[in-house]
Amino acid sequence: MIFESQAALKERIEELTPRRVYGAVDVTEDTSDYMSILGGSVLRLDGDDYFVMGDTKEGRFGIEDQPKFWVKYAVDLTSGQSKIIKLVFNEQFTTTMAGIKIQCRRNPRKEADVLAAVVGSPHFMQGRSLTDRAGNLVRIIDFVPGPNLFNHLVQLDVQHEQYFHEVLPDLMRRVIPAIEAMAGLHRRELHHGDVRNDHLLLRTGTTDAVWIDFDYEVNFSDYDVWSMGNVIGFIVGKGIHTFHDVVQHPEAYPGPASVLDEHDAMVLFRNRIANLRKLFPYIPRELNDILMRFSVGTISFYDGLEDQVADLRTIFGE
Amino acid sequence: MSEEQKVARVLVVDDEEVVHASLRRILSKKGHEVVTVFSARAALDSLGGGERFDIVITDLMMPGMNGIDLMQALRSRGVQAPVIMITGYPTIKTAVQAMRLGARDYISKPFTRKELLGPVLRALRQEEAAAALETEPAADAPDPGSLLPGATVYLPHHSWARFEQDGHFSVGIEPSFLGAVGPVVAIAMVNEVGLVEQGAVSVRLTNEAGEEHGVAMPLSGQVAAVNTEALASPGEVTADTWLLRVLPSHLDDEVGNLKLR
Repeated sequence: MIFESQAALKERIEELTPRRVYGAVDVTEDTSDYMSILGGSVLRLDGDDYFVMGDTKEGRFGIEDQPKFWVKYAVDLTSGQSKIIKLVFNEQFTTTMAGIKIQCRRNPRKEADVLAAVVGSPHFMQGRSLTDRAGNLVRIIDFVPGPNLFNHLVQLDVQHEQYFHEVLPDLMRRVIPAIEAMAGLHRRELHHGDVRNDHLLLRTGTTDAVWIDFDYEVNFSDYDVWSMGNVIGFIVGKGIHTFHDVVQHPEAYPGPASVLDEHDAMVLFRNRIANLRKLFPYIPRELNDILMRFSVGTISFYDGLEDQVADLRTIFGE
Repeated sequence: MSEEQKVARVLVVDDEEVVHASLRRILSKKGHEVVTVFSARAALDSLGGGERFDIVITDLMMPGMNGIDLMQALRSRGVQAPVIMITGYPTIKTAVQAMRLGARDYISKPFTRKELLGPVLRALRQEEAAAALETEPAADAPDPGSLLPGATVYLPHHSWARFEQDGHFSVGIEPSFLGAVGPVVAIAMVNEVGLVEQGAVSVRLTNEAGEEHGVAMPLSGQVAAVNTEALASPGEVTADTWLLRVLPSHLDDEVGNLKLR
């Protein structure tokens, strides 16, 4: 609903949030200039008012958090629920992976299509899309409470062997249904486009793993299939292990680092090691064989996620 | 490696006339001679008839024989011309297959002029570098078994590699290369940190004139470290500065292509 008067807006904002409103609330209906939409303002979209708390941030691999000015934390002033509002940000670039150039671009329409396709699934973020007054395709996303996989694993303070035996099985059983859900998305000829460790959230209070952020589009149709290998490898390894890590800290690995060769590298990120059994000899061969299908040395390619799920289930069960 | 433009004979294999026209336009402007055929079979007939090409650019998906099958057929017949694969349906799987079979590059359609010319020029330069290696006298090529920590081998006019105590090789740039380039204002890795390949350009220098010069690597292997300080201070890089530390993957095979300092 729309809160027509400044007094009604002020009252509702102060009712739902810890913010105190001292001046007039800025109300925006055209989101084209997303940089100028600041915390403390209201987005009026498709007949509802959303109070903007601030910009989201993205931090990975020790890099300081970078604000994503086109993605806002917000509160739906009608329902009182926390939302993430994604505005149109046209970004296009080319990256090199596996020695090949991959074209990437953000596509709000594609994300809207995926949102519509996954309604009701516990393994995908939920939300809807709408157009603002200027015709921009805005996505209103339900907030998913819980850490992402990356943060969850790097904060676990246990040695790998203990992690492997005590934590990994349950975690993998939690993630496998999310991979299976992604396979279902592919059957509908839709793709995630940016499968990575920090795009999988572990929803608090449930056993659900939830994929977020579907706006990337890449020009390689099997990109999800290969990038899922990075996620599986990350879980098995309790983090990323690079050749550089092994050379610099061989004492951190129970296996002999000297036996590594270039065929042990991941196809997509060739500085990362797929052959984790060489580093952690207690990883069973059957599990390592799955990882090796994402390696430079593989002769057995995964054609789809269904096969990955089936192989993981033979090890971790239903 | 010379940055001079080499004129090449290019065989284009694609079942679409519009691709022929596009490649002919782009490559002819650079002075290359372009021959086009509509099928892999026609390409094999052409090569079987004694025609020689410096590069083969082939579509991946074609009726009958596809681009990967064509490349295998070329190799089995002893045709060693570098092959560049282009496709309108790119997948990681076919890219990995193509590169593993020896394709020099894998380009997805639609491509820009720059996206096409980069791989073509690179392939031509790599061929030149390989030819230069073949013509170098082998008399002072080191014996892999006798290579001791501290020894330095070098790829003439490009780069050197020093065997370190921990089994790695530090890699730097030959003085003759730095001398030819002149004052360096920027150094960049060509790809993400990953694998390097003997004879292939992995480091690119930019000089004061804005010219870019690719440094071919002395060894193939996994990059274990990059000297980020050197990359940040290109003007201070000398022939003694290491740029990469490489875990060699084919030392026994490759060391014979190098010279011992």
